Amino acid sequence: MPIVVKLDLVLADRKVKSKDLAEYIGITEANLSLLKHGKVKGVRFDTLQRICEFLGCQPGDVLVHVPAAAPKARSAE
Amino acid sequence: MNVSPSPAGASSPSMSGFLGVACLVLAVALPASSAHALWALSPEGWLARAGIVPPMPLSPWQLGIAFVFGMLPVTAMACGLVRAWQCLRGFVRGEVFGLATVMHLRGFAAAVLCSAVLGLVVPAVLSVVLTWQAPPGKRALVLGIGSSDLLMALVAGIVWQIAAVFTRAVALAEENAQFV
Repeated sequence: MPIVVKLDLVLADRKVKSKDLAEYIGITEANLSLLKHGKVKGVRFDTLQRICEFLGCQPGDVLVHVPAAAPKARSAE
Repeated sequence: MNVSPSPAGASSPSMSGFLGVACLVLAVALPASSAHALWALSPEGWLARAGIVPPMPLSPWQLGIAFVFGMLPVTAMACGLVRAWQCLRGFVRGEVFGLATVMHLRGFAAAVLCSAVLGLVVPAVLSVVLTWQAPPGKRALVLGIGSSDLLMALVAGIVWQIAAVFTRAVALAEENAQFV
């Protein structure tokens, strides 16, 4: 998955507990843990907005696009 | 995860509960009353039921086979009612988009379709069985198509299609559950 969730880094940077964030968003800690580990299919805009509000960050701080490795044939050119 | 709770107001648990109990009661009462009625049927009654006009002697094995075949449509319907009860029980628990609930709905449709087909086939089989020992020229094969059986088959087909739509809904609900 080229989209990497950096939520755990932002949480550590802001010294915020997962429990507090989960409570603010209104989701369970288990679901927040799944989100942190990138084991979800998607994030609702509402959830993203609450995360950004609570952590004082931008969506780009939480979600980062990491381009997939280029195909070998192309890299050889 | 294959179960997601239904949105508020999507289904009435009390109505589902009532219908479920009605299905369960019918699933027990229907075969029992049919068995009682068929068991008490006289040979003349069996012949009249099969649409055979001239009375003829029937041996116990013919009556036994006729009883078994006569019970088949009702038994299929009872199985369908049990599946309907299980499906409605799922609705009561809020598992509207549960895979098990949908499979029970599909089972109900299959059982009703089976009962409708048996309702068309059994009278023909009964006529053959009951006239098996009759002299040549007196044997009969009664074929008949009733509108109620055809309607039941149609309803079963529609319920089967609804169950297929529910299967797709289950997949969508599962996907939605993976969004946070």
